[in-house]
Amino acid sequence: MGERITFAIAAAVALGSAVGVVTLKNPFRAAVSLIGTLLAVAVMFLLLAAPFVAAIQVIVYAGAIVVLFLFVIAYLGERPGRFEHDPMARYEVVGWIAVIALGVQGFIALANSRLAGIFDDPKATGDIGSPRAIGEAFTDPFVVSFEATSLVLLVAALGAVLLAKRAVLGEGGR
Amino acid sequence: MSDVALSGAYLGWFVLALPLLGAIVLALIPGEPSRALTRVIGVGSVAAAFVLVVSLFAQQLSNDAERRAGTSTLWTWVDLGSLQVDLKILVDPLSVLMMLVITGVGSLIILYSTEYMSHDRDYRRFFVEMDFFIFAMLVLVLAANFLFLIVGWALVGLASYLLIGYYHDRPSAVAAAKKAFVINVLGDIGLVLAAFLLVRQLGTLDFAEVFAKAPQGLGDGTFIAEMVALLLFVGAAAKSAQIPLHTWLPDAMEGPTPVSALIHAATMVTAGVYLIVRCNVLYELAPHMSDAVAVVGAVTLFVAATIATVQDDIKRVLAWSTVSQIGYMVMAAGLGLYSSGMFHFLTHAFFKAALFLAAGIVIHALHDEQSLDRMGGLKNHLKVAYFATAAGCLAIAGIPPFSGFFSKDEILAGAIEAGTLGKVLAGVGLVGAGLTAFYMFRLLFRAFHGPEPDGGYHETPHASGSAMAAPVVILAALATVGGFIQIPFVSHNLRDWLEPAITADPGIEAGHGQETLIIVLSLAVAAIGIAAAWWLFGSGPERRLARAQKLPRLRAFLLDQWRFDEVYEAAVVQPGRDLGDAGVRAGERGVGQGPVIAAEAVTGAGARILSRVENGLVRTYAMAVIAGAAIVGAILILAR
Amino acid sequence: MNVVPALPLMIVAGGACVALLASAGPGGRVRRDGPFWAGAATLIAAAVMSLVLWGDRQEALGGGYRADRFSMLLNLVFLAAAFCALLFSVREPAGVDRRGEYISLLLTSTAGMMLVAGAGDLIALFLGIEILSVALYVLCALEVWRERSLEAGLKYLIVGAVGSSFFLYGLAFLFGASGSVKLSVIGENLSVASFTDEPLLLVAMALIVTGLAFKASAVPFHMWTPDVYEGAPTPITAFMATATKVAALAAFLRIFGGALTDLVDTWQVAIGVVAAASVIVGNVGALVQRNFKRLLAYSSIAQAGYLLIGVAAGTLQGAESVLYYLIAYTAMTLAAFAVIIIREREVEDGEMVDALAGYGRARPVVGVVATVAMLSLAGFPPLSGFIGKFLLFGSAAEQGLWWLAVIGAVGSVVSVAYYLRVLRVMWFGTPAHGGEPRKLLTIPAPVLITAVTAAVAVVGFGLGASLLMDVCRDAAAALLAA
Repeated sequence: MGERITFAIAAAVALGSAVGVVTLKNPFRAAVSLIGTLLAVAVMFLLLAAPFVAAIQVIVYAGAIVVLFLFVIAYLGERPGRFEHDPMARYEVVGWIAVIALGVQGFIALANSRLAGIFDDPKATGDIGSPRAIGEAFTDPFVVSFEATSLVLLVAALGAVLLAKRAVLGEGGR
Repeated sequence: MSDVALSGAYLGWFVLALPLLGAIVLALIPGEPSRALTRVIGVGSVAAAFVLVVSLFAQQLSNDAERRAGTSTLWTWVDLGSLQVDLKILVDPLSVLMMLVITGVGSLIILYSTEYMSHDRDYRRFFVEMDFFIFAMLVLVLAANFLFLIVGWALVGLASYLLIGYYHDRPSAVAAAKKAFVINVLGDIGLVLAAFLLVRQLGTLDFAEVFAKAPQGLGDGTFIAEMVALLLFVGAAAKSAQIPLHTWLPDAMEGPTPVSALIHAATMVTAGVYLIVRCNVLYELAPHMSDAVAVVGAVTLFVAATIATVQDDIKRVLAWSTVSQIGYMVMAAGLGLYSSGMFHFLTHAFFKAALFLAAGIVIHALHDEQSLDRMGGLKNHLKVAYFATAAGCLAIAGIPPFSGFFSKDEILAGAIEAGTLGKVLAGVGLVGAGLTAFYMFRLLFRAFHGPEPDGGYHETPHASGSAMAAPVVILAALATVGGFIQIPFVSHNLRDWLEPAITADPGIEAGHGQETLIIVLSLAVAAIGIAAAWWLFGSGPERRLARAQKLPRLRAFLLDQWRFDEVYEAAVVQPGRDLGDAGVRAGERGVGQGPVIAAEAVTGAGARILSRVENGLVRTYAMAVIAGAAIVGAILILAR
Repeated sequence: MNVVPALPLMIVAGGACVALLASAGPGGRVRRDGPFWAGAATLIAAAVMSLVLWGDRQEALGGGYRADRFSMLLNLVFLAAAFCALLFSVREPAGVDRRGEYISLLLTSTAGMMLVAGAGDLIALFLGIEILSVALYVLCALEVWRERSLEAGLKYLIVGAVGSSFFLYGLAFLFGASGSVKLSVIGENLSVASFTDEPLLLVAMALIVTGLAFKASAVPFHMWTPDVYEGAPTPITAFMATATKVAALAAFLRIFGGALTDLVDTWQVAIGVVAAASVIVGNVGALVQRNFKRLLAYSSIAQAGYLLIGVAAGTLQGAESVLYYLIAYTAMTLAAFAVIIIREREVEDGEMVDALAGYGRARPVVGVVATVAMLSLAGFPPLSGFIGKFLLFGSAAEQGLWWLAVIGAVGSVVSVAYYLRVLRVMWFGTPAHGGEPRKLLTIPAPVLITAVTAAVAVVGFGLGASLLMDVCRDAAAALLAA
């Protein structure tokens, strides 16, 4: 029962903060609101008996990445976004309908699901969240994915450097 | 039909290769080749193919009836495990008959073009395209399975597109070419879908196997059998310009006259008839569709004949006349008179090619003048053209002993025997025969008789050289005597000849009484038609005008060609264009113009929304992704 | 741990690093030409390795990567497309002063695609898609001085992130429903239990279709396509139009044709509807395009639709047809883009259809290449595009999906109109200024050779279809091999 209450609170915080990220006009506040979501997700990892992932979630995401966001925002200063007249504003309702339709579908699916672990209490099976288990997963069954991740990071870093440098060059003519 | 039956079947590949090689070699010669070389390659490759076909024909003649068909395979083309399709040709009496006409009449027409096109800048391109067309047409008739047939079918469409649009700086020619191509491709789809049905039902596309398995695999008169016949007929109707897919053929007269003679008289347009005859087994399994085919043929022959009576462009008269004559062939095929249809195909190839080429001489002599209003009295200047046209007219009107008499009467006499529907259609055919005599002699009288227009020609029309005259003379001679292959009461050589290919011939044979009746009736209507033409057009232009003013409404309706084009324009072309326009503006950056242009569109609200959606804004795109996910989810749940 | 089966992938990933390092290498010549040669050598080596590994399935590195006939065949397609893009990029502005990075990104993207085709589990599959996408985001934006290029990269990045997140979410549900991330185990688990109406599995499928259809640019997830294709440097567009589509379809086949094949009745209609919508919207949209790149973008949307028709058939024959058509499509699309690349360097508005007016007469070789490409894209017999469509629609008809076969066939008819327009302009059009087309430069030999080779392949795959089909059948059979 306690687990359920904890989960409900974490879920509410995660959703509320996520809404805050997209609705807050001030980018600084939006970034801070993101921390709420990330922390709530960390709580969920704890509920799933994955303390190591929870710790990483806090340190890397809530810590490093959001701080990076904040630095960038501070560096750029608060530039109010200029929105041209949006010809699609009238059709915004389509977006809402789509989102609601997706939500309804998800709810129906969940309510009718017969999968184990949805209506009965979830049980963590075995040791999946400890540093040791994760380490083993990275080195044996998922070593391809682990290495592929490094490739993603390499590309991202390369692209960032390339475009940033080009942008600087671009401002002064080629 | 085993592979060893006709030992020379492999020669068919060489027949195919020669015109293709001719086209390729001609196209690849660097620089501008001399005209003499162009002529030699252009005509020579097709003439050589003709010689080969004749040798094949001779070999067939020396064999017994069972050993006149053979196949030859290059390699396995498509292999799906369950379905195997070879690059394979079928040489049998039917395909050899077609090949004789294609290469024989074809080489005459190409020979004719060497002089007709002599003023043209793009001399070489013309012969490349003509040779390519002959190649495509040969693929069509030689194919031994439906997939290969579709290749020929489509290549013929492409070649005719190129040739109709030969004068590419004339917008009307380009438009006509496009129209012909689109309708032809529509026909291709019919064939492709028919092929899918055959694969699904019979697991093969090979002609011999399909025809052997069809009675069990499709069933007699079942829905599937009728569907196959219908889809095949869509292809046939598009190629053979049958209603409602006929509108491209009159426009196709934008091409040079030899092209009209080759494609739109002798060969391509008869491909549909060939297909129905080739698939006679399938049509015998689909009685309703066969009846429908016959009715479409009859309607086409009547409608086209009425339209031909008011045309003032010499080539358009012939074009509508072609539509009408193919109507006879299709009607015959629909009624199960397969060999009669092929007989008419043969004689029609002779007399219509003669007529077109003679018209070409006239047009050439008058410096590209095609209007009958500016002609008259030409019989004194252009003797060859006059006699050829006269022979052609007598043949098409069905006056004995000219060839058309034999073939048309055979169709009508056979039709009477083919049940109630046949009797009705024979009546339509008779009326059509009267109209045919009328419009053809109207052409003859207006162009060659009577006074010269506006008191004489500026320049005396110059007679043509021998390269143009010779083919016309040969074809006119064939048009005169070609009918004696098969004489009522006496012989049916052609029918016996085609028997191995037409395995499902229902064997309709006219009794002597009917035959005589038809001969008398058709001679009577032909005489009436010719007399009417003489009464209206045999004299000077004043009387013509006075009489032609009668019935202005009917005349206008016929001049509008029964308004098919208008209906298509309103129902298909315009909405399509609007939708396309709106869709594309939508793609352009900035929304400023979108609503304006879309508002003009008939499609209205739908197009307006479409044009706003693609506006270059990322959040719209993201929204579409979300909406799409919702739609896919809904389909998954609903279609479960 | 068995490393050998993953060697093609590792060679390409390693080659990406070598190309990058070469641009920082000693000496001007190495810096200038090193990356190109490193890239070319890498691609050839990986292709050879893929051929060596042609055979029954071998699992590499704990099962995260699987080398079988399916993945090796697609490896060859990716490598060929990358090789062509590399040749196209010779003297391409974006490739000139940042060769190392450019080629390195191209190779990384290729590695991502190879990972998609051979992924043994859902995580590797997702990472493959991310690698190929992130590299392409950057490549699209590489001509920073052109606003449209930057815009293309940014748009692709943002909308792509939406698509990827849907995909990832879908994979998570699939994992939840089946209890495994291993593709082979998912298939087993689902075929044991009766899962046909498990609602969460439906959600998973919807989200996966969304994510993959986005990458394949199928309707309604296609909207980014014209903008991005137009804005990106043309060699990159050519690479995207071919290799990315192949990768997305490979993922479709791996997941739906392989793991979820027993649930075909469940997903058939959904994929069919997406396919039909793509055929319709793509062809209608292409009708009035004046920009050749945009025209090909819409055409590629329609082509995605044709391909998905084969996926929707859900049979081995369908998968075989998809593979055959993917290869044919790659060849003809590369030929078409070669024409744009050649013209684009000569005149400023070279990507407009009108810039090609009279070009066929001035340059018959390029004209013939374009003709073959356009006719094949339109599905004209006997070219490979026709055989491919015949097989795709035929496999749908075989399964009784007549509506798909008919929509596909009618779509092809409509497509004839716009492909033919290009050819008409090319052969019969008159340049706006009259006379000969402006400015004819020497065509770089690599581009011309690529173009001609692609055109020859289009014809050859058509006439010798059965040879290629044998290979495709073996590859398709590997999808279902345990």
